[in-house]
Amino acid sequence: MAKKEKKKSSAALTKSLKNRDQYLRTSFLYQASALMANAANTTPELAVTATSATAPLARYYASQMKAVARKSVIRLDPNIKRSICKRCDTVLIPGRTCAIVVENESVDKVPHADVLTHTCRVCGGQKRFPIGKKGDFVVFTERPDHVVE
Amino acid sequence: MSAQTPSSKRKGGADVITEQKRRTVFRPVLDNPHTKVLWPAVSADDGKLFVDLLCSILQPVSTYIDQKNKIKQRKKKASVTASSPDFTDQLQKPTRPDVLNYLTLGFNPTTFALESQTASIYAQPSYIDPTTPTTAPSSKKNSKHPITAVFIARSDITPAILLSHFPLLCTSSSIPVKLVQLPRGSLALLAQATSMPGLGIAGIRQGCPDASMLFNALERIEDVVVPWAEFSGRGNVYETLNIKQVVTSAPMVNASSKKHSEDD
Repeated sequence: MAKKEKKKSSAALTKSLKNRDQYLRTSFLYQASALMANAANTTPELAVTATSATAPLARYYASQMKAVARKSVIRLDPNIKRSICKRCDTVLIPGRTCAIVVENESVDKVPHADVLTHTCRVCGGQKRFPIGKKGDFVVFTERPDHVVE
Repeated sequence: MSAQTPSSKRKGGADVITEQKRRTVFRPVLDNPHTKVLWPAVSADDGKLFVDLLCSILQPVSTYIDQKNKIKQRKKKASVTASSPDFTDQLQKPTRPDVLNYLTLGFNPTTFALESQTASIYAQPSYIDPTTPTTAPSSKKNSKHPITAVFIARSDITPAILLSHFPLLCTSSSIPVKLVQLPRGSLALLAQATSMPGLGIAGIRQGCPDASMLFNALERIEDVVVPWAEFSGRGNVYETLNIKQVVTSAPMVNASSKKHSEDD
């Protein structure tokens, strides 16, 4: 049984996907959120801060996406989760809504204390990656023994 | 109790109870539809050329940093033994090479510089004076030239998340920035050339002296394209569903054991 399963290709497995509509909805909401976050703000009258006028809409879509995924038990790739602020659901765009820095708070600046920090510029929420401690870390969806071709 | 009885009847006896059998399962994961960012290709010859040119540009930096480190060490020694102010004065402060004003060495300086030159796609709120430049809010950094190329020893740097923001920062810059990945092993060469251990990321500003060869070679490198980041809102393409299948294992649940537990 197990041997048979191993031969299955990724495309074949995706064809027989359970609740495909929910996956599609999640995917759509994510892209809609990214689109709204990236939309240029061309009307200065509407601008409150120097961000996109549709930024609140982007946050709403992102929170909807998270809710849909949670309700229908859809696993989101770590790449998706990391691109959205955990605290306020802002789409994190480096240079615009996200500040990226490697911190080292140790006294002697030991390399294993390096921490990559993504800071949301909207709410100040931080996501910290201890890269010095686990430099060879690969997310589970990208480990070679987990990936199905 | 009820869940354990059927498994204890199986071969292996007590061992089976503690070591639950697992089967391989496939789990669908919703992949990011926006991950397809290709780094511009660099041929092997070009890669070597870039490393050589960079190392030659970085040469004055090496001597400067070596001298600085020496002074630091002497100061440390002096403070440990006894305070002898004339001892530290013997070593002259090394002059900062001019090239350093045209370089960003390391992760943080390069990222900061790129972030500061991000093009503004947002109209300024009406209460902000329209005469102020829309790019790079800090006037201090504006006095420096913008970065035009970033060199990254990509295959020597892990984890991948460290470098994930560079393509996007390069495309969203107000002036075009080339992104160059250096061949494997160039991190050690760069670190050696600058006496900065672990240096794998360097940015070059416009008008860097003695770098005309480097800038010429850069023209062969294509610009980074991030297809989904057409910031104007035009040209956005809706990506189809992107599902990744992941192999994991799940505990075996016997049909009979299930029934058993349901009866209880």
